[in-house]
Amino acid sequence: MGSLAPARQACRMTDDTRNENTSDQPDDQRTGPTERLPRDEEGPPAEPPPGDSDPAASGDEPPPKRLTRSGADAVIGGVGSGLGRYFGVDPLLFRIGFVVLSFAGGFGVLAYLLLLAFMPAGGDERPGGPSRVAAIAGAVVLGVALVAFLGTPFFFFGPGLLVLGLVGLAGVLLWRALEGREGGDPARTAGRVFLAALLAIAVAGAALGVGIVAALGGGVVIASLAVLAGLVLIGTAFVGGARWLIVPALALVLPLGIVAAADIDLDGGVGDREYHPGSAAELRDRYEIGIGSIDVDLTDVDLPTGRTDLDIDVGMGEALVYVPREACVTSDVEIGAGASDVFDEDYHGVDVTFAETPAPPPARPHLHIDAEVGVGAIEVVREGSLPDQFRSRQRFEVFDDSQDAPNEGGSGCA
Amino acid sequence: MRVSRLDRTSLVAGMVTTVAGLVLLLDRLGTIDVRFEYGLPLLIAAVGAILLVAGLEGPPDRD
Repeated sequence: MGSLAPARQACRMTDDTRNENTSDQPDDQRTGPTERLPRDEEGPPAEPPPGDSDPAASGDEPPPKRLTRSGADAVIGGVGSGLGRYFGVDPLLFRIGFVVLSFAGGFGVLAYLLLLAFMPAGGDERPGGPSRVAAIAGAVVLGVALVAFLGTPFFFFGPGLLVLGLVGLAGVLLWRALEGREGGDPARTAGRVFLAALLAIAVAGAALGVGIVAALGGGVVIASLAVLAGLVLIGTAFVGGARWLIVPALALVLPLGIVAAADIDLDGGVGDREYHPGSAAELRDRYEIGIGSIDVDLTDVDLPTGRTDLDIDVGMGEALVYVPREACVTSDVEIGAGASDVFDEDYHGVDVTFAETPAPPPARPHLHIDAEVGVGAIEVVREGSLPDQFRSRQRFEVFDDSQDAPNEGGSGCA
Repeated sequence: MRVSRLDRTSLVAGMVTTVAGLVLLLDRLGTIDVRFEYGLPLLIAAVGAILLVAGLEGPPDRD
């Protein structure tokens, strides 16, 4: 029995669903489905009513009552109508309930999606049958998206459900893969798992390649290919479909979406770079790295009075900026996903933006840091302080703890 | 004579991919700025919608 068996069994009762509204009819006038569940899926036998003869012996045992989705009068997925048919009430009541509960922490949407995934079809759908695995996966992914979109203030379950949802989805897929759908033949099951793993690796590799190309400036081409793939899918949908194109299309869209959201730019190359200019004249207009780390040590730079701009651009990695003690430092930091630590003021997460732009005092050197990080971190520390994120780096071991002054004064512009 | 049936999974996947591609194209062209805050959940939801439609519709006709 598969992973869904408990849920499936929980949805089954011991009466006839379709006779719910005709309980006042004599038994011999009842009509309903005559199909029987497989023996191993049936629940415990119901107690016969007192005085009745053994229904099994007489052949009049009513078929088990089943909670199923209804395809005949479905509005969305047949959950409300299935519940209404099962409980013998107007399905509209359940639909209203789902809507109302949707405004109570999103519970209604989540409950509907889970019921949609776990309630079996009522048999009035088209031949071919739905794929329960895909339905469950879709419901879980939609639930995860809902949690991620609404966030904790609007969703009681909070971000913890995001992790639980992803783990649950992986568990369901793994369980189904190992379930032995080939009649329990371990060799065929292992073969299926192996092929699935190979396919997953190939798709992941292709997606990674797409992401790298997009981050190197090929985003317009990839987005155009995605639009083209989408149009082909729409066109072929009317002549039978081309589902094989869905995975390649998603392999274009998803990595490009991540690159676009994080604004990852890998033009700066790969590696670990350190810059230690000795004077203001040696300052570059822009310090950038595609993948890796970049350290800019300005402690030996005698900044001139007035504003000096420093642009930092990191695709994926870390940046550390070490600023002179006497400088007034303002900053404008944007991070797709990661963390910023500017004079011990920490921010982390996705879409991190940090701007500190106090009015610099006259006759003081003013350093303005404009930093963009796709995925990673940036830290700005003042001369005489040890950076938090980079304490293990060899070059900063020249500072002993006695010199580890906190970044007091923040920007130093007061 | 065989009449081709509408494949809703391909239709939904095509619409999702087309819209997502257009949005990302606009981002790359600098017209809009896609952010993680709403972009990632929408992408996840798009995948979920495709999976759900595929699951509810069942496998494609083989005839």
